Amino acid sequence: MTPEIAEVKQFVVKQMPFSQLPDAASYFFATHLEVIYLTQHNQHQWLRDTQLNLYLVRSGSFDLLCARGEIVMRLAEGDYFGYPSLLTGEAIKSQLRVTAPGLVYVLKAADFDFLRAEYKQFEQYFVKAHTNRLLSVHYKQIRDSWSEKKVSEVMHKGAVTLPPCASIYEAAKTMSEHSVSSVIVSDNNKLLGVVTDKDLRNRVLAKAIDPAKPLSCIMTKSPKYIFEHNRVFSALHLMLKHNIHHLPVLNEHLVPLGMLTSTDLLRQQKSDPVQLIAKIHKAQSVAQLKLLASQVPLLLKSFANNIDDMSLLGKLLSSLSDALTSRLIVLYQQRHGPAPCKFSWICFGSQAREEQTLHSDQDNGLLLFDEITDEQKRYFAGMGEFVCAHLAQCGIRTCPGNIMASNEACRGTISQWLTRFETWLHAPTPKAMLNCKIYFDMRFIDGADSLYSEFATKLTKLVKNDLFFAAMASDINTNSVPLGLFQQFKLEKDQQQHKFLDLKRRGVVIINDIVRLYALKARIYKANTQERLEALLDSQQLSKKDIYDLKDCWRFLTQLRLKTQLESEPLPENCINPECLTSLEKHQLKEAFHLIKQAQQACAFKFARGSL
Amino acid sequence: MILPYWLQKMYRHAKLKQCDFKALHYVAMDLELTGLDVNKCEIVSVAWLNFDSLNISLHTAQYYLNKEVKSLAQSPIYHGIDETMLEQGDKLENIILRLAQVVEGQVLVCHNAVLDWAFIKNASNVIGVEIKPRAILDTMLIEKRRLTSTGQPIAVDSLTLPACRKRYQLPDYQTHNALVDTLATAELLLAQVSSISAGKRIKLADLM
Amino acid sequence: MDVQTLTFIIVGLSFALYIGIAIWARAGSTQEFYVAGGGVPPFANGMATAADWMSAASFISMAGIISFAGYDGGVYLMGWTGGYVLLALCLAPYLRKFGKFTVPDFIGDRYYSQVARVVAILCAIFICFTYIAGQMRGVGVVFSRFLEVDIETGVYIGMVIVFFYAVLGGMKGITYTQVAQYCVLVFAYLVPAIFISLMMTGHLLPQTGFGGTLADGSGVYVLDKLDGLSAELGFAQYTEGSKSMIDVFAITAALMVGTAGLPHVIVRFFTVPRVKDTRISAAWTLVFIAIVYTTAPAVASFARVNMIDTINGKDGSGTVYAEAPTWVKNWERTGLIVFEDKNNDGKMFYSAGKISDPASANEVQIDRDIMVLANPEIADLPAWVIALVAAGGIAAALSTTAGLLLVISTSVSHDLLKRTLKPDISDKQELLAARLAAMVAIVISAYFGINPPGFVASVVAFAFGLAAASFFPAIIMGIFSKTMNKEGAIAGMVTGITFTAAYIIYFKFVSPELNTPANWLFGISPEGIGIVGMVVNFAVAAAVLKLTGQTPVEVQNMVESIRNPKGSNAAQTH
Repeated sequence: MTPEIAEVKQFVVKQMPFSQLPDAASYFFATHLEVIYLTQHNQHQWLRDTQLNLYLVRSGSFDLLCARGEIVMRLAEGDYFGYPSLLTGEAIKSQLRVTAPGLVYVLKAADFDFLRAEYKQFEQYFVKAHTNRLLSVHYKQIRDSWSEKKVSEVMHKGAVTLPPCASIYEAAKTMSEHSVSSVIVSDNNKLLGVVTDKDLRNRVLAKAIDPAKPLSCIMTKSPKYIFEHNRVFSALHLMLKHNIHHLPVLNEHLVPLGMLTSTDLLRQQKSDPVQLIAKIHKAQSVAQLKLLASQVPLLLKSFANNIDDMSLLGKLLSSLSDALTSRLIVLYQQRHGPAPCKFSWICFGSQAREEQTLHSDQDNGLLLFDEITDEQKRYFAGMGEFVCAHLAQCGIRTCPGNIMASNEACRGTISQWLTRFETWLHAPTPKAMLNCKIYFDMRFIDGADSLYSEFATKLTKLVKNDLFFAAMASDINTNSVPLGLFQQFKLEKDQQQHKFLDLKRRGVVIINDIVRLYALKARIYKANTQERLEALLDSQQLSKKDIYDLKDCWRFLTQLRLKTQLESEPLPENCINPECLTSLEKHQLKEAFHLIKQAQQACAFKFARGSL
Repeated sequence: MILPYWLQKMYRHAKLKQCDFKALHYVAMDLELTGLDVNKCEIVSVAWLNFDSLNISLHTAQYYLNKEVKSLAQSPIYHGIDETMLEQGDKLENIILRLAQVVEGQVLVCHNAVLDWAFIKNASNVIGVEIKPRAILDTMLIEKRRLTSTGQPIAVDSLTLPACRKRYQLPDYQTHNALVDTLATAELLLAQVSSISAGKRIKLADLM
Repeated sequence: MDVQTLTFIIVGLSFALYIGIAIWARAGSTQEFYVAGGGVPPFANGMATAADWMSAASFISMAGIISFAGYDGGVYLMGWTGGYVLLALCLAPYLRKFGKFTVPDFIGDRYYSQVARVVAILCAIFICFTYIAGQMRGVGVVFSRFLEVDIETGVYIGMVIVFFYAVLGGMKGITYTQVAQYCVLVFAYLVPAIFISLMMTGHLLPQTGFGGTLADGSGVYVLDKLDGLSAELGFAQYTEGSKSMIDVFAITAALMVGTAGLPHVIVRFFTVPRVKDTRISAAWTLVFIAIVYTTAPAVASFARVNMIDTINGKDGSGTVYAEAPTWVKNWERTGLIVFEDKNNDGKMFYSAGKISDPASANEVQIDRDIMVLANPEIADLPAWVIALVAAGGIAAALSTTAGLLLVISTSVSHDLLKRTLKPDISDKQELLAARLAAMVAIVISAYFGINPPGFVASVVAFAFGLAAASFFPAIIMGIFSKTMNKEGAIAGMVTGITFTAAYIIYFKFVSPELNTPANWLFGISPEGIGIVGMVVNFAVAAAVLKLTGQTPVEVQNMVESIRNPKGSNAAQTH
């Protein structure tokens, strides 16, 4: 057995994800790694495609540059690099620049794969790190824009064609054989029409047309088409304009070559959040921002197909909102001059928790300097109105509760905000509890970080009243999971008599509330539920098992919720019909609700002594 | 053509000195001793590690305790080793044999090689084995030469392993045992080489 | 319909009401309602607190005690009412400002000591236990009468019902269930009282009827008649009492101080969000308690007059046993009325003295706990009134028991287990421990409910004495003295407990034959000795404080800030 070197092992154990993994993982890493002394002279020998490695910085500092030479990340002790290629198998695009030579631990691809296979958490850590890097606002790398590509580069090669006299039945058979969603109807290499699976549904089945009839009677005649040398962007434009999902691709001689589908386009778009965020940060006008914001829903949908962890969607949307907000603040300053004093733009609620959905509304506010003058206040009133109004136009709905920086109550100085919080803490009425649930999920977005941290520190000292915790615990218990006495689902009904389960209000929200309560008690000032749970591991408030249970529940419900949100059904948002679930999912769902119920009761027990 | 042995040796040595640093393979080694006197003191443990100009492979690390050590007189808990640990060690003879195998044809690297080499030589003579490294590099000497060339006066403790490492901003290791010091020495050599070569070709001669 | 069927129906309806409310409250549909209405109104919270406060002991036993002990029984009335006032005025507001939810938490934090906290927790658990024991007996009495079984079976049935209601039902501190329980309780108490008052004195209000003249045209005052009867039968004068002034004072004070620390009631003061509302709701609670408590002496005296009249006959020569009213037969079945025809004249006769004493002319032994329940029967009221009283008794027992069980289970599972002994247990284990604790509590208190009332009375005295001598001074000093340190407080608590416990054990268990006023310290009975223990506690704490170090500055500042009214005003304005 290779002896482990104490100093190396001690360092490794302290690093994520090894700090969370069994000792054996750290041992494996510590004994399989190679130490290199990375200098500007030998750096070209590393980070090469021929030899994929995971790198962990032990000392020194390095810059990770993108292909265009812009800095992606500054690396220092404890930072990893090289993992994106290990995960995706794609070519390495980054380069290194050594600012101070130092030691770097190197793990070979084979060993990385071993750890990845052996420890799920290990893999998750790097997948998450990879996604975060993609989402990172600072990641300004712009790839070759996919929309500049030629249609021929992204289309499905090999047209699936049928003559117009072929029967509908034949078309269906051909489509399923080639597993495509459409066929081109052509005669002598001349495009006549298009038939899609949707046509089969709407024009054949729904109207009970005989499938023996020829295709010519149901096809879309003289469809829109595109040439193979056209740019993808033109294709997208055509599709969006006419709301179609299939475009036949022709060559110069008008011969059909294949079909371009919206799915093909979306597949191209997978790394686009990065690009979009970068564009948002460069937008020079509000109009430009709005145009960019209008791409969000489509982008979200395409992105959802490419990731395993659906909760990333919430993060993605929140980063987009953050970017929009920051940019709008810059645009306001460009028009009205720089801010006359320190300020912090903060957000609350789902945006702060990084759980935003397409339907989330704005929850934001301004934190101002205590000795502010009236004139300075007017400047910020303008800023609040400007940003909120334009965010609304960018598709983030205004808040019905008026928790927006455009509302004077939400533009307070540090002491005004503190007084507000104090009021709720000392008189925990149900209304105050409702406010606490929104405002205590708080995150800094733009402006002066120092102002925000001053505020957060003061707020921490304020939250110590047991009566407040008791009130929160009872409040949590006024909501209940949809499980009946005999563990059956208790379904709700809407006006159309659809029966459904509300996963958000009766699941995710309860977990969020419970976790918030524990986080406040343990003085953890994070807004994201998963991060709060992570931080709670170090406190005595909850046992490890409960924390992991809550984490799993939250993940499961979020996953299920977002999945259904994307597969639009005629149900209210965030709701599902349990009949559509597999029996395993049903079982898991019940289990999850059961755990939530238990956590709820335990809350009432610990904080409110069971009184409601 | 038969050259006298000493001439052959000189020739080989001169040729070796012209070797590119990058072309050779190295073994870093460190000993733990009960004291500094070669005649009276014993080897407590031996650690070594293979590396080359690019990387140090930790899976080659070896660490052996000498189970025959008679007294840990000077420091009973020397570097955290106590009697019970020693019992699980190996015979010095076996350790030296393994070392001989590993070092054969490689460049041996030590911090303060004079001392370590003296002990190893002594131990190998007892069992009648010859340890034949291609060359021996001493990171302490390299450092001493570098400091002298800059004209700085050399303080007594400025040549210890931690002090040298500090000069290259290498991490400050809290633990000191033969194994950690072996890695520390190898890292130090790479840092020294990088600093001396400044990107240019470096010959072994530049380090001897 | 006979009484039994009606009882089933009315008790069943009242249960349906509680469960219905609980389901409605737990369904989650209340959330919007609460937010819109700004929470529970103080009026409703006042009722809920009153329901918590009034136990089966208040409902069933208090009037019984007064009825049998006359003036002496009044100490309970005064002690319990005073205890509430003390709690509402001197403790709750300060504990609230301190931001602590339970007394043990307050003591632990105020005296920066885990030991003090654990002592306080154990004390709280002990008080709750003795209280629940009383409730179980009350429920047992109700069930034994109306299901016509003996008291033992009655307690078993009560145990099962309490178990299902309070333990398996999960959280049962729901305000509106308590409100409903108070309504049932007060209705059940007042209706027979008003009926009897009208019948006997012609007054609608029992409170005025109590001081009025009899309606039979004789012009004799109720109390005069009772004094006359008592004297005739060899009892002490009803309005005079046999206890010395100092003893009455001591017992009242001990009860007051002892009940002020009742943990399940304090919690109610904290569930109201606004300080102002807390005050209003406390005032309402007092009103709601007063409605029952001021009726109690009237009920007691009417019942006694009626009882003696029916047993001894109008002429005082006794009633023929064969022609005895049905209530006597009914209660005989439960074993709570015993008749022994000592002079073989076939007539019942009730007078002073024990039935087992051959020198006494008394032939009837009546358990005092049945007075309230038997009252409507004695007065020949309609069957539905009798059934209603049963429902009221159960409501009183359930509301209090649920609260107390919750305190026991949270104290054991959270305070002792999770926070002190085994911090890494999971939520599931904690909840399980809570249920087990509640179950054990029910079983133990059921045991006390079945086995001798004398013993329970001793234990109750013990509990209140201990609370008065330990708990209470620590709280008061914690609030009103900045400088009191943990050494002083712990020393005070320990000496207070030891002194009181020693005194009670000596007179109640070691040499009960010496338990007479002549042997008592300052003429104070073991029931009242807690108040002396309290004084000892204060004295020892003050002495130890002189000898030991200072209280940490931050604790001093904290105490300062509780009593400084600034904070409460800020909170009040919203």
